Amino acid sequence: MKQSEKFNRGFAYVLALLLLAIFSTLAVAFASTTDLGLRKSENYRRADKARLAAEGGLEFVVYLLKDLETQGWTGQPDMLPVVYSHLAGQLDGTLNLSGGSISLFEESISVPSISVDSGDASFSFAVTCPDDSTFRVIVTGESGSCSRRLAINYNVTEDTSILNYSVASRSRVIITDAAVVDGDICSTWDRTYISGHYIPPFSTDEDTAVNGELATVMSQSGFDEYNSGSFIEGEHEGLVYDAPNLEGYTTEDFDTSSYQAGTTNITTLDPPNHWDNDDPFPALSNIRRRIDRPVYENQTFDNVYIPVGYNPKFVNCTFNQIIYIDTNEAATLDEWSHGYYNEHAIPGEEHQSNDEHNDHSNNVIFDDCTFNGPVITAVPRDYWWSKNALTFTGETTFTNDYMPESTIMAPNFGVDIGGRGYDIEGNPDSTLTGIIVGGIVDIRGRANIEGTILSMYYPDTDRGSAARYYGTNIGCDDDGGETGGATGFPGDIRIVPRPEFELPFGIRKKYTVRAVAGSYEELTP
Amino acid sequence: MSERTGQRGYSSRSGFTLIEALIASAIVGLGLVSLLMASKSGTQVNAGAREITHAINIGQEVREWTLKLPFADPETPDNPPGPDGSEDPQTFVDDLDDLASVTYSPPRDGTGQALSDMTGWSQQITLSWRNPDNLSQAVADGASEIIYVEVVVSCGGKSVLTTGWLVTKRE
Repeated sequence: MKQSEKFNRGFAYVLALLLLAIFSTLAVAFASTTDLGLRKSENYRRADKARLAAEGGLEFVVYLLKDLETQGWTGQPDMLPVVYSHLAGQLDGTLNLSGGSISLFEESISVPSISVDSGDASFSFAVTCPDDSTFRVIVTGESGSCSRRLAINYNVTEDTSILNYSVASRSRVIITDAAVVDGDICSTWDRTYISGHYIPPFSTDEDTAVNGELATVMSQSGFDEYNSGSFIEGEHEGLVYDAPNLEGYTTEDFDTSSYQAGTTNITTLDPPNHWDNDDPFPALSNIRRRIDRPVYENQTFDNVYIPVGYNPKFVNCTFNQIIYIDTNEAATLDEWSHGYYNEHAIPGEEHQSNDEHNDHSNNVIFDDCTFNGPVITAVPRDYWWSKNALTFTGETTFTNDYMPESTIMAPNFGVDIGGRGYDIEGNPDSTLTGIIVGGIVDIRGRANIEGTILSMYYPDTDRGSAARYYGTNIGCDDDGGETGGATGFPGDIRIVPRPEFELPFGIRKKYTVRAVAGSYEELTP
Repeated sequence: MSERTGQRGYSSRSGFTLIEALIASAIVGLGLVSLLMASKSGTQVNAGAREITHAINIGQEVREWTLKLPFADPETPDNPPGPDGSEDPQTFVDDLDDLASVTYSPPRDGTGQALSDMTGWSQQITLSWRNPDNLSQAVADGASEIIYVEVVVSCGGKSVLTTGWLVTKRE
């Protein structure tokens, strides 16, 4: 009985304590759950802040890289040093890095933490190059103990947009007779009125078919001011005003010197068949210059080098692989135009009044020649039509399987195919491929071009009123010599742009750096 | 007598005394009160956590919106920062700097539409143009191509979250 009483008394306490324990456990569980929810929410806040810091950091990196200098490289650039140099120029020593600097170590650029605001958010980033044409930016955003990592890839691609054009010209473009041009034509010519003459960017006649647009850098009002549209008579797919100017493709953007390697100086080979200066240059002009020329006939040349001042004429010759034509790259326009170079090429000959002195340039004529490779020249600093010139006459045959990216790369040279009043037979089976570069390119008679004609010379005010004579001629000229060329020749020309081609080595290419759509990803912190 | 005494003695020893019952009740009551208080506190804290979560999402809506807006007015890019002319950012926003200083209540979603079921909530948006060489330093409005967007999300007039991010001019 005593034991039962004791049990009854103790039971109440035990029960109460048990309940207390249960309540305590519940209270602890509540507190724990509540704390967990709060922590979860706080972590979410910090993670969100870290992610926003990373996203903002990525925006900032994109902002820094948008002006990445992408011109001036010949060949595929080594991206990491270029990106490093670019970023260092913008970040080193700034307060973003608290006066610190970025580092390039073992194929990776590291940029230390940059504070986003006065609070607890910051970001840092790294750049790597997984391959030659890609670099990868990894941004880490931090807020308190939370971090988030984002990554995006950039592609480095060669800008070959010029190859979308059939003709890209800094001078005006004259297309006449039965020329058929597939693709857009671009002219940056904007001097429509010179010394009483209307000089529109485009001139076409009623037989011309341009299966593309005519793009001018001029505004519509500027274009219409002198009724420039009335000079366009043939078919076309409309005019585009305010077109972007041709970027690049200036004298500084060409470096063809490496093509000399492996060539043989022609003066070390068989001598020319004879010398003469019977061929006036040009054939039809008021100014018919006589140039002393070595004449090669019926010869075959493999990888041949033509020295500066040689001015040869080739008749029925075949050129395999490369023919490299040298010139004085330093001579100024002023020196040329004032006859600075006065030496006679033919020993013992006396100068005549209309002799042309081309000792420091190269004026070359190819008559009935066959090219199984490209014609490449050195790069004179200025264009002067009679000094550095390539003239292709007769039944010229181009079969350029050797370097289809460019059949003629002659920066600042006058390039006349079938023009200047010479025989314009051409060869219907002949095809020029790739970009055809010249100071002024003039193609008349028969020609098939699968690529782009680039006339890089802009006739500026320093040419005075004569500037109007410089234009890219396609087809045959029937304007009475206004454009400085021949008259009345039937044209049979077709130009088809080949945008899928690459630009040849030797043009300082423009590379475009773009973020790759779809490459954005969140990495594990 | 002895029987009565025995009965009374049995009766007095067979139940809880008043003191015992009072002590037990006090202990249980204490436990219950603690539990209720813990529950109430937990509910309040959870509500706060839920508010923060809502606030983060509401702030994120502004982030999404700013991603879609051009940096400056495409038609009048040279106009000073802020709403152009008589434009009211409550009814018309076509570029980022229109959001220079504006409060939305109810808050806006990622397309700029009002979130009508979020009454009581607000987004206070402030833009500050930042020095590219020192992103923590504000410069005069419109003086750089980098903007720090700060959003204060409030509920019932009480600030719940302050967040922000960088936006740069891309075009």
